Amino acid sequence: MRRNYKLILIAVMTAVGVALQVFEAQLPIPVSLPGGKIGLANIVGLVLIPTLGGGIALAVSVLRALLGSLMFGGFTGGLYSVGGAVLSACAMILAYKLWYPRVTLIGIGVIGAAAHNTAQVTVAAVLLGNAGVLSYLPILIIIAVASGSFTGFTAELIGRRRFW
Amino acid sequence: MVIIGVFLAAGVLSLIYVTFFLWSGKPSGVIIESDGKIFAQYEFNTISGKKSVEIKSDYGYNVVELENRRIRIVHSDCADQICTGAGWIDRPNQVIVCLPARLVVRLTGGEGVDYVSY
Repeated sequence: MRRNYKLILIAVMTAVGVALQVFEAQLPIPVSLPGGKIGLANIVGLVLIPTLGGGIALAVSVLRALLGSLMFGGFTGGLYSVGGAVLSACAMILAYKLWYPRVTLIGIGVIGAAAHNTAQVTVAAVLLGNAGVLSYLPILIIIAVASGSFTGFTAELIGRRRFW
Repeated sequence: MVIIGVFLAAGVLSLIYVTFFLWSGKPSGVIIESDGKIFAQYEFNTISGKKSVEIKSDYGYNVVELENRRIRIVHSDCADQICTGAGWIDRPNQVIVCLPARLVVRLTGGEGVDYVSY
């Protein structure tokens, strides 16, 4: 793949991810849960891993997390989302390489969402110096199963049809 | 399917552990931590009625309210308001976190007789 083409793809996919994040931030959420969200932007990563490879997917999700935290939160918020994005992307790339045909994008989405939430809670526990924060993790894992299945299913549909 | 099952089982089992074992009994006091350091500590049997505590730090301004073995964050100047939305907590080891303000409110107690008899 030519270098410029690669750069453009990274830029466009990052923009799509940020747009999805902005859209998700506008959605009214009935219950307030720390870290409990759908993670629509993760669809981008899930589509990219099988099509353009793990490297581009990782670059896009880190850039997206950085941009998102510049828009929505301060430096601390940025640490959580970048930590979550890196661990989530690495977990998904690894799961894809190891198990892909047997584990569908839905399973990989669940792994990514769970890794994302685990990283966020761990960063929070370390920054606050309080292990009690980890008690949020069980409910976040259950939410990750639901949100990861949804994003994985969506990515599967998009990847199959090649809209883009 | 296997992945979903594994994560769902892990989530549900650990949720059961946290709600029925880690959070069992009645709280005896509360610790308020700001930016990793203990800001204030109270025992419920020394408090009568309601008590409001203001926490101001480099990261934010919060007001917590405690009464009758429970506590909540009533005000926060953070953007997401997850901490105020969490409402009251009333079990030992339960926490409310305000990440932007680096504030942790934690209930203590729960060991000893209460824990065994639960």
